[in-house]
Amino acid sequence: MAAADAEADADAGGATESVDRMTVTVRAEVLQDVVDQLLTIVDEAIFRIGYEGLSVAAVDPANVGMVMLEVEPAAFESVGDGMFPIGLNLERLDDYIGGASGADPVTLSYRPERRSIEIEHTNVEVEMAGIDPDAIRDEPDIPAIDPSVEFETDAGLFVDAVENADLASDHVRFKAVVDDGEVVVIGEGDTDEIKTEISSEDISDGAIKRDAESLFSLNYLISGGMLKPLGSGTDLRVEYSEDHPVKMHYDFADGLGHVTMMLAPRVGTN
Amino acid sequence: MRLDEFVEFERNERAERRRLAQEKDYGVLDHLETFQDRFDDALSGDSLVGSVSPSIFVGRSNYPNVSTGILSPVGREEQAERFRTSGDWYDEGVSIGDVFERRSGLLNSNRTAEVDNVHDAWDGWLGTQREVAIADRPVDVEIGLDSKPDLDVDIDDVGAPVGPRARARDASLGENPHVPRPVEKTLEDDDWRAQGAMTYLYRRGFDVYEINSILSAGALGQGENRRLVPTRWSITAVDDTVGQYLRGTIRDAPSVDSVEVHRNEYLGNAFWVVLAPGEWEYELVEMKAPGSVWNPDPEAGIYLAAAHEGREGRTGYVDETAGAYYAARLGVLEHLSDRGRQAKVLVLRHVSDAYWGPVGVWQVREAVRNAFEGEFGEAETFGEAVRGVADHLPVPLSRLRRKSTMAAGLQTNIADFLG
Repeated sequence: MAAADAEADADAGGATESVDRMTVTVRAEVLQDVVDQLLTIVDEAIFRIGYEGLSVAAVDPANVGMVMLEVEPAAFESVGDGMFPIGLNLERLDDYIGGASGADPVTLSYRPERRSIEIEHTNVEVEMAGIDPDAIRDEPDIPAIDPSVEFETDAGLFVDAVENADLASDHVRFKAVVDDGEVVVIGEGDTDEIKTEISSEDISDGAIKRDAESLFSLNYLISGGMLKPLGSGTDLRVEYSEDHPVKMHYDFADGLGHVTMMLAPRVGTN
Repeated sequence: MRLDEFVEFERNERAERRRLAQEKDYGVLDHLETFQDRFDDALSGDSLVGSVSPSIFVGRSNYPNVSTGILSPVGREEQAERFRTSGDWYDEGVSIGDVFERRSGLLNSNRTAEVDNVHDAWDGWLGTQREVAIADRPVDVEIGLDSKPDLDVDIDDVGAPVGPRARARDASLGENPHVPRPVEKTLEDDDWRAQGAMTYLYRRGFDVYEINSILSAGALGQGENRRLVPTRWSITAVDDTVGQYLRGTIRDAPSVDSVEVHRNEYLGNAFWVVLAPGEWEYELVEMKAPGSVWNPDPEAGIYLAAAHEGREGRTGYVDETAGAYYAARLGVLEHLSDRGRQAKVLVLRHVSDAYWGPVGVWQVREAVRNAFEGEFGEAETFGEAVRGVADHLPVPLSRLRRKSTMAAGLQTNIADFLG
């Protein structure tokens, strides 16, 4: 929904967006989580920050992988009273906030007249130039999909299953059969094949409504791909259908930050 | 032409080509003996050889202290141009035996040099070598040798074979070589990054063979970065760099309209090139028959190797298909760039046991470049094309699907799923 809202804002010509200087303050770990997740698919993104919190949506240049992020205003120490959009280079932002950690407050001040933000944390003050949002790839439309398979499991378990597939193959197949009540993550190589079962015991919530198999490129998921920030202890919700994009959701920032990732499948040649 | 008709048409063409093809030629040892005779005739005093040199060779052993050589067809100077590896070899229809004959007739007079000593070397050994590399025709040289030639042929999966070697003392030019103006320009401008200079030369009509020779001699790039580049690496570097440039030219181009199957066969290597509508995606799958050069055990099964890239290219090194990946990609991209189209491209290479001696990746590049000449087959879908082609491959479709990322499934994008 974040992207749809953001798009509506953009369409409205920024009517809800501030042109005055404004300031928000957020904990370093929250901002770092946002940047880490975005960096798995893009180098730059348009942030919308202010009284509604933070939202950002980005799609990789091939339009294959997408990340949408929302941080509720309650996760901020202070949010000001407008919303500002700014395009930022993520590598540089990552470097600039690198010196802050944990609960260190990071203050972001928007300077519309210079299209830049001022970043303050610990003993550091940075002025960072923004990128014209028009020069950044359009935020994606999001396909509506009624998933055949939905399940929630520990992110660490899921990442392990996908990494196992990488041992034998360049792509991973998710397979679920209604009667089996489990999801199998498969790596099929030329000579070897590896299967990791995510059994009903490991699924905290979910439903297999229809049998579904779908194939995905591993390089979008692991080895720096979208699953990179995830580890054990995070609940991950996965939704997919036969030969349709997979959606993966998780929360961060004490439940006040929400991530949705989407990846388009490789579609079989049968 | 429908795919099944095309396959039948191709089979007949192939039979005809086989009939015309020369017998396998194992006569490399004979070539080396005749080399010895010519060499003895060409020697003046006991160590000075006057010849012409069409090309150079830089080894990769002991990098960064590499063997750096000037190649000369001793005793066959009038044919020097024919010894230079290029697309002309394909047009001429040289056989594997011809390649070995030519390359085993080239004396590799070499010295050891540190790769980064080349920037300020305007004369002496490295200077002479560079002049040979940048000239557009064979250059008269005089080479002082320190040893008798070692009669042997070195083979490689990327570079063309290299013939007899002799340690050299010095070399000098017998003429002022002719250097094309654009090459002079890249040589003189030492503020120009190597990749940009390579692309410039390509756009000015130089083929990758000429560019990799110039790169190899350390004549491209920003001054302090100039160095000798082993021949094997420079071949792949130029194919990759020019390929990236061409890929950029089709990034926003419309896609091909239908699924096309092109085919070519040369020196015991068969290539199927499947083009399908969609955004750029490329994969090379190699199937090497037992008894072929790089899978010599006759009892071994077919050896499969594959490498793949999506729209943004590869992030990792191609470790399975080495230089052939970039050579085939170049041939495909030249075709697409000419047409102003992009496509999803699957190249299937079947190396049969008729490929008894490795001639270098030029044969991959030229076979793929020329695969687009003439007729091609059309299929309704990519899947139909792969199934149609699989009947003529040495592995079952199921095994191909497990090895090939593209045969397993084509990458879709998110927009494909918007209502």
